[in-house]
Formats: sequence, structure tokens, C-alpha cells
Amino acid sequence: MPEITINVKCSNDQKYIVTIDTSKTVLEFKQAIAEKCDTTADRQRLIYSGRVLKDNDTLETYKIAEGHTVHMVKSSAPSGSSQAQASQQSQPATTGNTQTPQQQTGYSPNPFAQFGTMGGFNQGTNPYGTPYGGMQNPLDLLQNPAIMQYMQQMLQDPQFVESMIHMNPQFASMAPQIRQMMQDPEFQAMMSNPETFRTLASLQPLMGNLGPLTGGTIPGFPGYNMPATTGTNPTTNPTTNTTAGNTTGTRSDTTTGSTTTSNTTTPNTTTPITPPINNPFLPFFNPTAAGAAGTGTNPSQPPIMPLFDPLLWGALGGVPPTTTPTTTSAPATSQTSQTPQTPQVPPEERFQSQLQQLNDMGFVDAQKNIRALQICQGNVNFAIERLLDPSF
Amino acid sequence: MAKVPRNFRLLEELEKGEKGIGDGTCSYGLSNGDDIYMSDWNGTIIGPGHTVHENRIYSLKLHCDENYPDSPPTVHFLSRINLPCVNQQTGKVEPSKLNCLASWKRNYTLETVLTELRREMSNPHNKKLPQPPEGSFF
Repeated sequence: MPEITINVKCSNDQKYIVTIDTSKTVLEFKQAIAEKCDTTADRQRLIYSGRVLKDNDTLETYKIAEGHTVHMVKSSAPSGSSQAQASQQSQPATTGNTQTPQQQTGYSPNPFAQFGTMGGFNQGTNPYGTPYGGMQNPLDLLQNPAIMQYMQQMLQDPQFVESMIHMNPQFASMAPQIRQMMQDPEFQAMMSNPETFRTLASLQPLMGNLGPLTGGTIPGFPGYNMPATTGTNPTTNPTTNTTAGNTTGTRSDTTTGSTTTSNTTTPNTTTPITPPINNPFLPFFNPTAAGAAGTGTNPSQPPIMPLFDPLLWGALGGVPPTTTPTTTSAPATSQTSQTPQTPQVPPEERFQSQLQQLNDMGFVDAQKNIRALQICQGNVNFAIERLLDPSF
Repeated sequence: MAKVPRNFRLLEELEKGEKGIGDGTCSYGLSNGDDIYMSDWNGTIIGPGHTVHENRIYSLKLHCDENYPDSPPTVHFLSRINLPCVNQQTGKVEPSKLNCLASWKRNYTLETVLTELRREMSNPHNKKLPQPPEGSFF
């Protein structure tokens, strides 16, 4: 069978030249293309002469000849071999990262395995076409409504929480506390509010400077499980201090709230675990209060911020979420259910400047803009990505 | 200027379609390569970005009768699409509602039609129209 050279034209103006036997199937052709570009075979859709090429047909079927051009369109998600199948799948797949996929309710023994399949997280590609992998600020990741919703769904499932607890021996040993923590609405509300993390991130440099004053960074929720220990002497646990301060992202087990909590508690098993006496998360709802706590004006409220060390989150965001169950469980633990609290201000007013921005950019549908901004907590960039999503 | 006969014209278009000359957003070719009259054509339009059509591929069939290119081709959408110029029962592009068909000129080509249809999709009035699920057909 003759080998022919086919030009492949991408939707982004890239061109590839593939030499292939005409007796090969379209699927084999796609795989050959995949070797030259970063689009996997299952995400390629090929068009030649006004027809969409089907995986199982050979190139002969379409009478593709030497020097002809095939157009490639990257589909937003893996599509099936047949067009009909593709349509069935690509609809939810397009929104796969933005809406909680329903089929993921059936958790496998390792509920985080699925997490790794979230395209945006793992491969640096997503339906919006921007690589999350390249995102430097993991806070942006947290603000991604898709991740938020995904987490919400997971944490609302008691079964999931259970399996998570059982997966980690440290969790298992303190299962009741974890469970209690998860169910604490304050905790949930705090965790589901990306603004919290933003505030914390902005406070982080400040915290670093205050190191000598506050005894360095203190991981975990000191006030929650062992108020006595950390509340009085934040430096008692040097081990955890170093882990939290480890900016290189060792991330063995410090990435999140619950994990860190388990770390801080485990070495201190002699410390009686007391039920929460007050709400240690209160400062998070008020940046100034948090700042006050952080600067040490309120010694009874030890700084809690370092838990949310952006660098830790960076480490989290920068690693493939398949490394260890602990690591992958991290975001799940801290991202919690329930919608963020919103002030009682009409969205038109609250997002006035953002709406203006969107309007200037040509997004004229005010209702849609508001909806997008609400979902994205006022983040214009994400709202735009939402608005550009055809399924929105 | 000499009139290019129908078949020469269509051969030209066929070559252009196969070689992929153009911006790559529309593609067309003979639906049956053995058809010496080159009457029936397939076309695809890649949905324009930033619209509801983004990432969709629309399939069409175009028919060039013996009067082509003096008279316009007839155009049908195979993929379901919600556009004012498309008959929602049959998928036929209503010639009266698409400018290039309504005021057809001899130098218009199949690509002209496809490109104009694509422009219709990104028209501010149409780009947010609710669309049937991708992959459904007329």
C-alpha cells in the first residue's frame, strides 16, 4: 500500500506533516498525529473534504491522497469513536470541569483516583483551553468553581469522608475528631470560601516577617484539637514547624488542614484532646481580625494562617495528584461543602466594577455576567472563562 | 471575461477543498468521488469560538445542479442547528434568509456559502441561541 504525506492543519494554525499508509485506519492516523503534537488521539477530530473521519475507517475510504490536507479540531474532552457517541459525551465533558459530574458519585476504593482524571488538574489542559498546570497561584485553582463543586460533592457524601478517614491511619486513629470537624458548619463555610485563602495568602509574607515574634509558622488548627498546647506555646512542636515552613514542597503530609492537624496531634498524643472551646476559625471571616490574631495582639488566638501557606498549596498544585493518597486527599479535606456566605448586597452592586469590566469587554448579557461572577466569587478572569464556555 | 464552465469551476473547488486552502474553519469535498458531475458535496463548519457553537463540527450537504455556478447551490445542514436561516424541520438553509444565496453571484463558491454560514453563527444575534445537543441530525 502506498505511503502518502498528509498535511494536518490545526485549529490553532499549527501544521503537521504526517506520512502514513493509506491502509491504516483513522485511529492509527490520529495516533501518528498525537506523536507530533500534544493532542491525544481521543481528543482529535479530523475533517477531510467536508467529512468527519471515523476512527474505524481506513484512510482509503476517504480517498485521501498525497499532499491533501486534513483539518484537526481539538475536542474539549475525549470523545467516542463514533460521532453520535462523541455528542453524547462531549456535552457533559465540556462542562466536566465546571459542573460536578454526576457519574462520579460512585466512589471507587480510592476516591481520589478520579481526581487524577480531572483533565485540568492532571494534564494541564481543560475545557477552557488554558493550562491549569501553568498556573502559578494555587489559590486560583481553589477558586476554580469546578474544583470547588467537586469538593463539595465529595464532602457531602458521608461515605466519602468515611473512606477518606479509613485510608489514612492517622485519620483513623482520630476519626471522631475529623468527622466532627467536617461537620462543623463554621469549618465548612470557611473552607468553601476562597476569599479566606486569598486573605491568608496576602497575610503570609507578613507572617513570615513576624517569625521571631510568633515563633515561626504554626501549622494546623491549634485552637481546634489541642488548644492548650499550641495556644500557649506555639513553638512546642518544632517538627511540625519545619514541615509547614518547608517551602520546597516536601508535602509528604502537610498540605492541608486535616492532614496537618493529624500531624500536629499525633506527636502530642499525651495532650488530652479537648472539644473545641471556641471557634478558632472566626478570624478567617474578617481579614482584620485575622491580622490582629496574626500580629499577636490577641495571644489567645494563635495565628492559624500558616496552614494555608500558599507555598504548601503550591506544592499541592504542582504535583500530580496521584503521588500519595495523603496528598491527594489534601484538597478534598479542606475544600468543604456549603456555598460561601455572601453579603446581603445585591450582586449588581457587589460586582459593579467587574460587571463594567465584562461589559467593556463585550459581554453584554448582564444576567449571565452576574451569574458567572457569582459562581466565580467575583473573579473576572474566571467569569470570562465561564462565559466563554458554550455550555454556560 | 470568459465564463469558467461548471465542471472546471467545480474541479477547482474540489482541489481547493482537498488541499485545505483557506482558513481551515470550513471544509468541503465531494460526497461521492466517482460522481463525474460533481453534484453532491459534503461540507463541515467548525463552530466559531466564543459562541455556543465553539468546539462543534457541523456537517452539511450541498448540491450543485447543472446551472451552478450561475445559480446557487442548495444547502442543507445534516447536524441539527438552531439558526434563523435554517429550516428547523428539514435543515435546509433558506436561500432567502442567507445573503449570499439570496443575491448569488457567479464568482461565489461553496466556500463562500460555508464561510457566510459560519459568520451567521457568530453573529451577535445568533451566537447565544440555544442549540440542540451536539451530534443530533436533521
